[in-house]
Amino acid sequence: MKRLVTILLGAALVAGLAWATPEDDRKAFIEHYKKRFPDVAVEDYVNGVYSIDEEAYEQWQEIEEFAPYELALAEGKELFETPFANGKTYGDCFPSGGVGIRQNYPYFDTESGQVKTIELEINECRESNGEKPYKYKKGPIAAISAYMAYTSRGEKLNIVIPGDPRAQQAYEDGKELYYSKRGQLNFSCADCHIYNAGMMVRADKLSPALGHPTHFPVYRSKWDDMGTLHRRFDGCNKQVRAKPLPAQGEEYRNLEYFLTYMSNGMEVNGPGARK
Amino acid sequence: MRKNRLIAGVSVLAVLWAGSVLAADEPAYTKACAAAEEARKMAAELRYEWNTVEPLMKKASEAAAAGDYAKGVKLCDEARKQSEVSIAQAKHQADAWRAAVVK
Repeated sequence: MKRLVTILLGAALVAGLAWATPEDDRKAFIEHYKKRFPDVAVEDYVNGVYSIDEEAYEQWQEIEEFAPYELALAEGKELFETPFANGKTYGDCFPSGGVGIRQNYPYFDTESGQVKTIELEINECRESNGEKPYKYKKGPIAAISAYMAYTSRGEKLNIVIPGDPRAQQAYEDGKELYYSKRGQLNFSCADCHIYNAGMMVRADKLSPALGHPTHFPVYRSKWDDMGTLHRRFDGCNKQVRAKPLPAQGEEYRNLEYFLTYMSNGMEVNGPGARK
Repeated sequence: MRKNRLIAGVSVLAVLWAGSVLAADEPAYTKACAAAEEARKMAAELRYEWNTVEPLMKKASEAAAAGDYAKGVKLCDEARKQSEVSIAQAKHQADAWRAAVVK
């Protein structure tokens, strides 16, 4: 009898894990941070590490007065509005003319069966209009993405995972990558940004994962430049001594899908400025 | 007496080891690096390659170009071992990641 109860409990546990929906995951995510940082309001996590570091928050507020991303923002606006050689613009490729739509990215495209990010669609737009694609981690694509994020400030992330099993799989794949230990240092994204958020790594405080995607692309002082979320994924992988995966490859797009879903309902406040 | 024999034994082993290292030649280097490359490719296919491996293999190639095949063998052996560990990491994480999910 005791054995039967154990088996049933085990089966229930396994079934429970298998049936964890994205929404279950997101709620558990938020509860984790509520317990870890009980004094931080959930909506404040859009400010990344500054939500859990008061002193750094003050410094950041001063930096924002003369935001280092402003030049990129102006460049992005100009690029966004300048017609291609065929006379069309980015606005012709996106819903609502590409303005105020950042909160809906990434999304699962049932036609192509893959996750689409805003940077991927910027390049798809270029190619469909006879232009060469940009490199994905920095430069013009980060500037355009920054401008598109800026026009979406205040809108709440609304990532949808449709019933399509391919979308569910993309979400699960992203989740697997987030929680898998990688590299010579044997660290996962979760090790740093969930379980050790707030701890110091050398001189830097580890930021919480909740709210991470709201403020990308970012201007990082370390880069002295703007960078996309996939540039940051690339950097994180290198830091744990793993060979990074391709920016805008399937793995990182699925990772972005999972990570952004975790911040659903939070306000877009990109572009951001970070150390 | 026993101490002297022990010292003599260790000395002989040291000479033999040094001889084998010095004797490392191009075929030994080629064999070690081919094995390292095979392991690196397998790790890359699993998307678990470490970024420490290629620099080791590059240094091995430089050592061989300078005629130091022994150093080349040593570096490629290290690269192979690292890739083997990363392959084991990939296999382990295929299931282990689930236990880390926030619940």
